[in-house]
Amino acid sequence: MVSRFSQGDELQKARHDWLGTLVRVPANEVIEASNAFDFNVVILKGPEVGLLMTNGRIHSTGRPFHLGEVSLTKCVLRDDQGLLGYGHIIGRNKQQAKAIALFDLALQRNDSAHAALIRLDAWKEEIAEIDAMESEVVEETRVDFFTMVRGES
Amino acid sequence: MLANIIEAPSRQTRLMQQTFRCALSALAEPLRPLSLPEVTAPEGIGTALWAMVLTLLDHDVTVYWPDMNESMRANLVFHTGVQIAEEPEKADWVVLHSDDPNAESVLDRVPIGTHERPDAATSILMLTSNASTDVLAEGPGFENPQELKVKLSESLVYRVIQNNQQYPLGFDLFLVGEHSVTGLPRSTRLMMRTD
Repeated sequence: MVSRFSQGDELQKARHDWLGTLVRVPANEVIEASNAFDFNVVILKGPEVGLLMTNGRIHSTGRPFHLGEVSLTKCVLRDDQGLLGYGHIIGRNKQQAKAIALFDLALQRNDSAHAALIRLDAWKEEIAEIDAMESEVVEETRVDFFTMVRGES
Repeated sequence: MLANIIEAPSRQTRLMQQTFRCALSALAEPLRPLSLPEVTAPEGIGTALWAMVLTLLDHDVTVYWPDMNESMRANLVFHTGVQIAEEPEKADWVVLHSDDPNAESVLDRVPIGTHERPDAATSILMLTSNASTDVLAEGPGFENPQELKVKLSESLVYRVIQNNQQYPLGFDLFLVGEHSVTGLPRSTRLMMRTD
């Protein structure tokens, strides 16, 4: 087997994790890093730009409503071993979508996964740092609401 | 694994615009065959049908498609994102072969809309071949009764006549040939030639 994953759901779980990271990496970084992968690929779809309707809910419990449309770019590649690489991003950067699809392939393949994982972990750390910094800023202005208990003895 | 998925056609948007125009014209001018643009189709699906499917199906609709093999299904879902309906009752679209012995029973089961929502009826993509027939048609879109130049079995013709009687409810048919499509909306009435 050329893929690191023999089970479909195993791959889906891992992919969910790494695609979530890849879409947050700045476009120029992921494009530059993807140049390292020189696979023999066929473009199955795109990169093409389309619209996606986003749904919102007030307080995340109310009735869903259409929040508005966002542009979405997608690209699907297939390598010479029959694996599929998906790259879907919000925005219109076609190169970025293709780069993420390449990375998705690289992370599945035995021959390139090691190098790709090192890159991915570095990005993950950076993103975690940014998240931590942001939540620190938010934490400073946090107000804890509570309900006063009244009329009870 | 998924290696048999074909590439999306180049200039897909243009192809879909051309095909959509054909589909609209087919319903506006029933019985007139319209040539569809050529496209590379997956194995088991004809080029005209693939053009129609790429254009008309998306993730908002459901399709009932008996006799679909794994590779057809994989390609269909990959390229259109359509939801597969397991029963004709739940289908917005149905793909049928006119030779299918179960065709009529499927047509008996598809939604035909309600008086409040006649647009909720199913549309049928029926694979057919061209031939001269003893069937005449009349209705909006053309002046005099005309011959239906698509091969349909006698029992299917009677099924369509039955469909005409439910008007304004009923299904709409697209008769998909090898390279062309002919519209047969519910407003077009079929009759057997008697002379």
